[in-house]
Amino acid sequence: MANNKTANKEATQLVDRAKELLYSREGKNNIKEALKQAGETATKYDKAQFIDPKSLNEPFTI
Amino acid sequence: MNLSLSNDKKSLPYEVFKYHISVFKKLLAKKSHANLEHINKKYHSIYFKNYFRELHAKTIIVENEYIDRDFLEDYAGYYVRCFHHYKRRCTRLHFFDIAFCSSDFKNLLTRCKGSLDKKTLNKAYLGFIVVKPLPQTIIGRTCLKTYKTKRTQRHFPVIRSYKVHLFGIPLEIESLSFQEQDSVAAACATSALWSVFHRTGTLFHHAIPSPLEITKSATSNLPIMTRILPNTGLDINQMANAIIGVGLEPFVINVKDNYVLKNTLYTYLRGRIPMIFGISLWDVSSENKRLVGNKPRGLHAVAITGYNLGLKKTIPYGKTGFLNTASRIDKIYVHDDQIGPFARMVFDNNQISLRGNDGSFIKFDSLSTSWQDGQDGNVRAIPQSILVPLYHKIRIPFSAILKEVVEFDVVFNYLREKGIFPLSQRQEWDIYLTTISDLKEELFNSTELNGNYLKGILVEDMPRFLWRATAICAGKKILDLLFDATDIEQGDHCVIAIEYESLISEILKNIFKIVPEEKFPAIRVIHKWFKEKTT
Repeated sequence: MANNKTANKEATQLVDRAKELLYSREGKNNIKEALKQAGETATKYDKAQFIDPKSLNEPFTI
Repeated sequence: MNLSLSNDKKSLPYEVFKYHISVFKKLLAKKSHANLEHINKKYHSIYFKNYFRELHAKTIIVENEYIDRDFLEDYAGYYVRCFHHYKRRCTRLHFFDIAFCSSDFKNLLTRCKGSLDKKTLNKAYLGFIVVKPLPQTIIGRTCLKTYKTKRTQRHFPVIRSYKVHLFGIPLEIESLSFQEQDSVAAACATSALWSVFHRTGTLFHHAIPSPLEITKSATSNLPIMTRILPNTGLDINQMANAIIGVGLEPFVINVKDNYVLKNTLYTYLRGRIPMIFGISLWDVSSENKRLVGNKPRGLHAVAITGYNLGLKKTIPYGKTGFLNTASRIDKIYVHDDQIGPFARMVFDNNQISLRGNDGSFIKFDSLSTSWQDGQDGNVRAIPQSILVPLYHKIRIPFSAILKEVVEFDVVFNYLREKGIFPLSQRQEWDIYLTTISDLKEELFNSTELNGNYLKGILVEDMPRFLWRATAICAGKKILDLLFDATDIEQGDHCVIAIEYESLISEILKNIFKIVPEEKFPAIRVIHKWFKEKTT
């Protein structure tokens, strides 16, 4: 892993920018909305894979 | 080709033939005592014709009087008590992609100098088919080489090594056992389970039951309305019972949604676990530019053994447009006992319209099959369910990992869009089940990591089963998130993150250090790992 001073300095500057973004009103709202959508995406997947218990008794006969 | 060499009353130990599909069919008929007309009508004949053409088969060695353990179990459990005299011994056909004759093989066995040697024979070996001495269902244990995988997008992660002994000559083939149901000891579900157990048996160290033993185990603890043998089929509960019978745990998933289907098969196949795929087969016809399901053939079970990552672009999922590798699957390969091993099913984006009770049409995702009814491709499959046989320690399901990765992805992507991460395009996630051995072997052999950082990961204490989520951007790995598959969902199951891009890792660590966990409750375990690594 390259872990030099330049990378650290650059990282610090970008982290400051990220912090500003995440604590800004716009950033908070955007992240909140994105996380809500992510939750919905995960729920959509969960629902889609739910099996109907009735189908468990249908024989595979071919 | 003269096939009268073998006289049943005084059978030769072996015979050698030049491969041709007509020779193969005649051998099937002669060695099983089935009718050649019946052999010609079997889907298997068409399938093997194309398969052996692709594998460039040149020679067949017939091993007469072969004792097959699986058939012997079925024979002892059923056929031996029939009034009709069924043969106890089978015939094994071995296939090679080089041409040689009987005298070449004789020279090898007598250790006389000749063109054939052990090494050449092994290199040319394409596998074998056991021919059962039955009137119709004659394809017994079959282990054939897969279609080529090098420089293709085909993947068969569940194949294993089979050691074959041909009159003292050791041969080896990488495959997964296949056999046709006999409709007596086994129906389609039993044959699919039998193939699956051939992999899980070596993976999780359990005995591999014969088809008859599977049928009996499947029906042993459940009330059934009819007799067990002859067996006409198993339901999911019974298949689950057979899985419990070998010491594994059944995990049933509804896969009517193609996205769920692709993810389920991909994530577990990469963990080397094959699975049972339940489908309903439909005869379809084209009406007003749509495929209409006219006649249901019924429910069918096959074993999923491979996939093809043929789509160039990943398909975004959900409102967040989540990208994952599994969505690039365009074909799957299955052991379909009515067709053959590694039979192709294609995601061709065609839906089937089925007429509802009120006369309106309902659309279903469907796949093309190798089943035929006069015209190619007019029998289609609607996915129903997948049954995964899991080792008891694999506890955390894929859906739980997907949830965490999707939520981490939106935070990651937000920062990328705002220019915090120097990435030109959106990251794709490659999520699958793996083991500590497979992971460390891959890392050791790759050139992406090195030095003390690599050593640190190689010696890191990790659980046996892991969920691996790799973020990839423009074909380059950025980050690996490893989750403990043996943990509980509420536990801290993010074991480690493998960092391929130091700048991105530093930013993540520092962000999670200053932004409290409460801000991202959904990605608590990932947050915690990065936060702890900043000290």
